Amino acid sequence: MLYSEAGQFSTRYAADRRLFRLRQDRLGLGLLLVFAFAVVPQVGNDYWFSAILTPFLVLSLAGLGLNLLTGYAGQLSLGSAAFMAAGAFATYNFQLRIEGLPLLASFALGGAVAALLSLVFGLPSLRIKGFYLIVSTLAAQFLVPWALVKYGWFSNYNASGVISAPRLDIFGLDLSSPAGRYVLTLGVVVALAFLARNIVRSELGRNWMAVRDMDTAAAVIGIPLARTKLLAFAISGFYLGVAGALWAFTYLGTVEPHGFDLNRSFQVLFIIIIGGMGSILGNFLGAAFIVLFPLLLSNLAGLLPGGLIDPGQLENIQKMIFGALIIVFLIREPEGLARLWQQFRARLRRWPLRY
Amino acid sequence: MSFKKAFKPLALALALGSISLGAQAAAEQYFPLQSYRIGPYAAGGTGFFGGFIDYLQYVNANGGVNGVKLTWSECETEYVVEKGVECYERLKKGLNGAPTAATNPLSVGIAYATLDRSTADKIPLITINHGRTDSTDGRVFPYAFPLQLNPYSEVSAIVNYIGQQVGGLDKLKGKKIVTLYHGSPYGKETNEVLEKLASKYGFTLTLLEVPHPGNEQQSQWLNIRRIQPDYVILRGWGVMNPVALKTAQKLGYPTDRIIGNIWSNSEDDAARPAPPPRASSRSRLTHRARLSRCCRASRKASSMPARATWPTRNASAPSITTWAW
Repeated sequence: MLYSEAGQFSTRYAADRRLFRLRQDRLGLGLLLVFAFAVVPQVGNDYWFSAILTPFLVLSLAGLGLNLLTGYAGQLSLGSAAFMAAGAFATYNFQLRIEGLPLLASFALGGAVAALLSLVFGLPSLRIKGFYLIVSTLAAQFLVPWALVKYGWFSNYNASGVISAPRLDIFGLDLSSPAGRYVLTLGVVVALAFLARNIVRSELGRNWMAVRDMDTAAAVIGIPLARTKLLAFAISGFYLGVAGALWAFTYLGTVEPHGFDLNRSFQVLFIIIIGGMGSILGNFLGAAFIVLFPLLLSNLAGLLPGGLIDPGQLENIQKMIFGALIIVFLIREPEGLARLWQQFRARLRRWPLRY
Repeated sequence: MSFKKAFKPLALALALGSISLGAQAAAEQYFPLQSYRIGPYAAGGTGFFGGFIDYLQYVNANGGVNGVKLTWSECETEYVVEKGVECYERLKKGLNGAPTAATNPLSVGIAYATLDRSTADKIPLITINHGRTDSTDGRVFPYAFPLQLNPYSEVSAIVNYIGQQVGGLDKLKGKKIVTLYHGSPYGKETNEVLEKLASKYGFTLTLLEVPHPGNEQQSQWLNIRRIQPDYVILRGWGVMNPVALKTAQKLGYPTDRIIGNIWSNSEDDAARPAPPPRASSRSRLTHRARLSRCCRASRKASSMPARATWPTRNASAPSITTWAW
């Protein structure tokens, strides 16, 4: 009953094609955005902004980037962190070397550099598939951080190779405070998420899904395989690049190649596996799970009286609990958290009736 | 007691911290420990933070700092930057009313990420025997405290020590020194300083990089055997150090000519883990003999006036199995 579409008729084509056809969806999303943009900056504290919400949003965006490639276009990749690093370092260099370049423009340019790089590493996808493709993207994962360490130019010849992000300024507005960083991240992530939702509904998105489901069949019905796959790599690279720039600029305030290692790629991959492949919402759910659950466990562990359990032991126990939870969730719902939400919605639609 | 002496600057910083925050008249000062007891660097983190807690307890047992007791709690970072930031934000408020005295992450990455935050929150950031070199300038970084040494002063102390060994810095002319460094920003940081020192004192410097993590160094050490340097400066990290010593031994480079930096301070790097089979006991003996020679050399060095930590550390460790630095 709550999620019923009864009584909602489209009287124009535009109304039928809108992003969210269901009134409840529009209302809920609108309320959520108002809450996130207007209420949270007022009531949150530094810990929530800098340690929970910002990384959650950035990792959601990174998941979104990989999901476009893996979940929608069906191309496996383990190079996510490399493209994030490329985006972060490109953004830094654009800021450094072009006087007066607006911050958002340098994010976009950083994303564009990552997109180009991703395009290059996507070229093997025209010939190879599946696990073999993982190996070629893995090459990006090893090459990019190595190049960033090897050639000092990328980090402006900083002695320790770690660079500090400049001040965050948009239209003369100083966003360096934790709340400001959060709002900036939220703005970028929401805009790009809307864009992604549009892309996957467009012809391109449908082509991606056709390629994912069976690329021979897709080629037979006239979908240009090369263009479709490469666009998937480029757009995914753009999203990951912007995510990397946000990670460096709004979250940590520092960039080091070491922060974008293979583990980060795995983290992004786990986000989309746990969240749900081929879903926009899934990235946010997956990132929430990956970011928030360990924090929750760690905070709970902090409440235990000191000395009860050996600190090292306690950390390992948290890891075990977290690992067990991942397994439980995946057994319960192999298609990810987004699928759980869909089932929940279907229930709400019938509620309080059983059928 | 050398232990006390080595930690004197730290005690100084504690005192400073308690003075600057003393306005709140708290009976306790709180140390948020961004420790790492799991993950790839757990061995280092567990030792360091366990020692740090021991030291705080030691200070408390002696009545605290001017009567102010020290408290602490741990937060696991796994040496991961974002976890360190999370810990910083979680713990910066203090504990049970005790204000935060200083943070001390023992990780360059975390230190970089929390430097701006520390300045904004007015919380001292301690980096002991490592850290960002330029943060030595307190006018620019008022809340960063790189205690005892930074990478530049460390490597120049090593060159001074080598100079002492060959009988004066002027004797360095014409000598051959190889620097074996970890292929990371940390490893490269001192290369420019070394080149400057090489041109100043006239020794031939060869820089050899070991890619991370450094568990394969055959080609580098073959290179070293070809160059036949007078000394090798080892700027390693983690597994690179024991592998360097083992490879050097295998290829016959005398281990007493290898000068390690602060991260070569683990005794386990040089100690043989398993009891050796009879056949190899000979090489073990020679190895130990070399070690004892090296340690004697450094014990002699502990009387030198230069303000460097590694000789003083060693003075408290009389065992001959100790690797010197």
